[in-house]
Amino acid sequence: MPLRAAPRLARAQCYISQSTDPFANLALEDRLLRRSDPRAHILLLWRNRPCVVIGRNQNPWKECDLAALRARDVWLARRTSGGGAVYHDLGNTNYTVLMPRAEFSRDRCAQMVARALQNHADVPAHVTARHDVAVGGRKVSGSAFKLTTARAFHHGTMLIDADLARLHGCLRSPHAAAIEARGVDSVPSPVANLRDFSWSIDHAAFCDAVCREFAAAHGPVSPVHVDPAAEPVGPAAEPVGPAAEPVGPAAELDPDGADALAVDAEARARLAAWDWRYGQTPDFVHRLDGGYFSWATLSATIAVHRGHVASAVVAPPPDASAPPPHVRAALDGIAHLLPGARYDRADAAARLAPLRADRHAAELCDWILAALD
Amino acid sequence: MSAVSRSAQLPRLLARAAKLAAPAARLAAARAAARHISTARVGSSAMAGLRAGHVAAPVGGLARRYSAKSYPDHQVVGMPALSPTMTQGNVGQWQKSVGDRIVPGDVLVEIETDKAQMDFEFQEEGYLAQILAPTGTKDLGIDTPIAVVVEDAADVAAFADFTVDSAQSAAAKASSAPAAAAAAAAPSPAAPAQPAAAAAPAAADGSRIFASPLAKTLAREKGVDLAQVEGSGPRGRIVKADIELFVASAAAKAAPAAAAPAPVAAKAAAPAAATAAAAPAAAGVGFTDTPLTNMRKVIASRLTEAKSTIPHYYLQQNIAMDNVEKLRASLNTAANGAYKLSVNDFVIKAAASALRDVPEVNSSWQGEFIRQHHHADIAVAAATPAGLITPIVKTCDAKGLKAISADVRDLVTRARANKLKPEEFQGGSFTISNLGMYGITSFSAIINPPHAAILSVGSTEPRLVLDETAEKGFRSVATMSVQLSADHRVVDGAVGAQFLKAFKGYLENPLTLLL
Repeated sequence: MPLRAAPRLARAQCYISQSTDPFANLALEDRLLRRSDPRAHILLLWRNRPCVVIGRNQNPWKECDLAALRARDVWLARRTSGGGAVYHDLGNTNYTVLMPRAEFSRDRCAQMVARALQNHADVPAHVTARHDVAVGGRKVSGSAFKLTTARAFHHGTMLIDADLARLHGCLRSPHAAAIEARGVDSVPSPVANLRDFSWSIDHAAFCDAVCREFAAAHGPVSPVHVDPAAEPVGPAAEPVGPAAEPVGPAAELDPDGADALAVDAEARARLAAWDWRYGQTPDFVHRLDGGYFSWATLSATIAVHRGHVASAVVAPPPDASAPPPHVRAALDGIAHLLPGARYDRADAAARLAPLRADRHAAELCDWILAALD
Repeated sequence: MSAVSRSAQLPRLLARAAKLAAPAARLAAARAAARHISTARVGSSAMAGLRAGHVAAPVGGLARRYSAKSYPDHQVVGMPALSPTMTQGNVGQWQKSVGDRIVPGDVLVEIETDKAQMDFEFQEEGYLAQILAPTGTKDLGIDTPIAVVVEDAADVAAFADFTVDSAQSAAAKASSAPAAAAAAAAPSPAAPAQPAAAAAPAAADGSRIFASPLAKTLAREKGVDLAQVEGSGPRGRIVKADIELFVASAAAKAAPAAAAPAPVAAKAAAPAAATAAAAPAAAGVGFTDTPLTNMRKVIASRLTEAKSTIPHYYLQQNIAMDNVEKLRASLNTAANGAYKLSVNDFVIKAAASALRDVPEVNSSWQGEFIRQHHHADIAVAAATPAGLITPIVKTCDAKGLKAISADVRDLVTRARANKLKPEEFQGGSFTISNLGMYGITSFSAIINPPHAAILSVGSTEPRLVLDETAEKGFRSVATMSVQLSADHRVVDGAVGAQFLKAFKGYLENPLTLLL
């Protein structure tokens, strides 16, 4: 839906999303990137219900503890910009600044946010060498960037009062050492909440501070509250297929009105789909050691391509003896049945079901499935 | 490659050779010469030419190389510099698969660098023949090969076994050929280019050449070097048809070779080793090729631009340095370790004061206007192991000798350790280059654009001057020779002379620096 080319259209716009659905918010951000006035500077402020957001080229199995995510009802999302994995919850506010590609600068927006904290929230924030915002040596905000031909954005998190214990629990994967992955690794840093530095800071106060600083840089703006989606719909309950109607009319980006900025359900669904979140992982190899059974010692090497198993080779390690013949059949069975499965426990278990008749094979399957999330 | 595929290629090769026979040769030459900047392609029919590993200038993220094996006409795509500050990137998702058609503007692959996610849009038409850097490959320097693109969809299959090594080995072999060709290009283009190109495959091959007796006889008759001929028989055996084909294509190649080497070789020498990230220094008998570092490339381009576009003129002056020596000695004895002034500090201070007196020299040419600076930010040329760099001492007119001395010391130390910030060596309004410590008495430096002038300072030597007041009729004066290279667009001769006069005045009477 093209932007209405009204001459009175402000070059600076500010939106605050009312939705806490991470996929809807990411779809809204993408929509603004692709559809807004190429010369405009836009600030978008948003926050999500608990989720982990990984970078475009990251490996979710390596970056986060997927079992812990499921147990704590933390969703997984993949954004279109680069960088590392971050944890979002309602105590974390995200900001996105969209600008013309020619004016893209990694530091300028981070400095604007740091100034906002200094001037309007009385928090002594500064920008680090990695373009993050930190207070007293601890990171409070991480950044990432996306550039297209005409537009670019810088977006970042801001930990205001997030559950840091849950953050650490989610972002530590038990398989990190066992997975050899291409793609981008996160750079861990000690983090802190703004709450540690200010009693009164909260989501509304932070949004206000950033809007004011944005206005100081780009001209007066009045924040527009937008609602890209009605209810947060979990990733498991994806909207069904292409037959689903888009949610509401595709609203024009009208800064003067408080129109509901409804996002294409299809765009949201694409971001929530398994193929995007897991399937877009660069190729990796998961090595399982420690297969100590009473009847053999084994190790497994599972190669994963686009989130599906490409090959699964179970064999004794070089210094161990060859397995007995009846076990070899089980190994061959796994090597034959597993490729093609999605790299998750449910799908793999379904594929390996025929092998469960044999006692040894069942043990073997349990061991492999335990390593999958 | 199997014998079957070779013989299948033969009709196609013969057809192409026939096409490139004499009448068409001139057209091919014109086309090759016209497109050399971005597409210097030697036709694939000249298989021997392929072996020469002709390297053309990279454009943005592209570099063209031909492997020593007989791959069809192709283009090796390198990691693009998608932003001015990008030095390396990670390969993200490939948006095209091998065999896909590429239309100009299509996104070929996503690139991530320092947390920024960008799309690499390919600007030419073709088919993706091979992916050299799969999704997830990290930290590839600019120009590292990442893909192969061909013009014909039919050629895609030939690249199934093409690897990064094929691309790199061709570049390494090619770096010696264009280097020799560039040196020879000045005197006479055609003749040296051919032998230089011929030398490369002969050196590279080294293995026994299989040829049929008839082919050997024919080769001897025609004066053809068997090492240059591509064999189409089993196990690469050269047959009569190959010799005939080679003779036909060599005739065609002679014409384009004459036109192409002069412009291409000139460009090829420097960018040939643009695979600085990929290829190591190639050693040969009697020479070593070093890939260009970024610093070397920058020095080369800036100074070439300066020397060729700025109308330099030179004013020379001898300066009596006795008073400066005396003042320096006395200030240094009173220093007590707080500072140690060098002659160069006085030179800088005197230049700053002279710039204040003659502000026209403290200017820079901006194309549409001349910018006259209010402060003297003087760049001091420093030699580091990596190359020449000019850190800037800011507002020298407002600083005293002690501050200038401390700044210069700090900047040069950090320059040698490669720890300068960009604003510390970019900008400035005037440059001073001092080669006195190497015993150079006088030299004419090249202006650093966009400055308007550069002062070349030589060593101080005792000279005899006539002096009627002296007992012997002469005396020895410690004389330093300086040359001002000035940009005549900004600084006229008289203005430059006034500047030098003021500068000389300050140095011969250093106490006037206090004024």
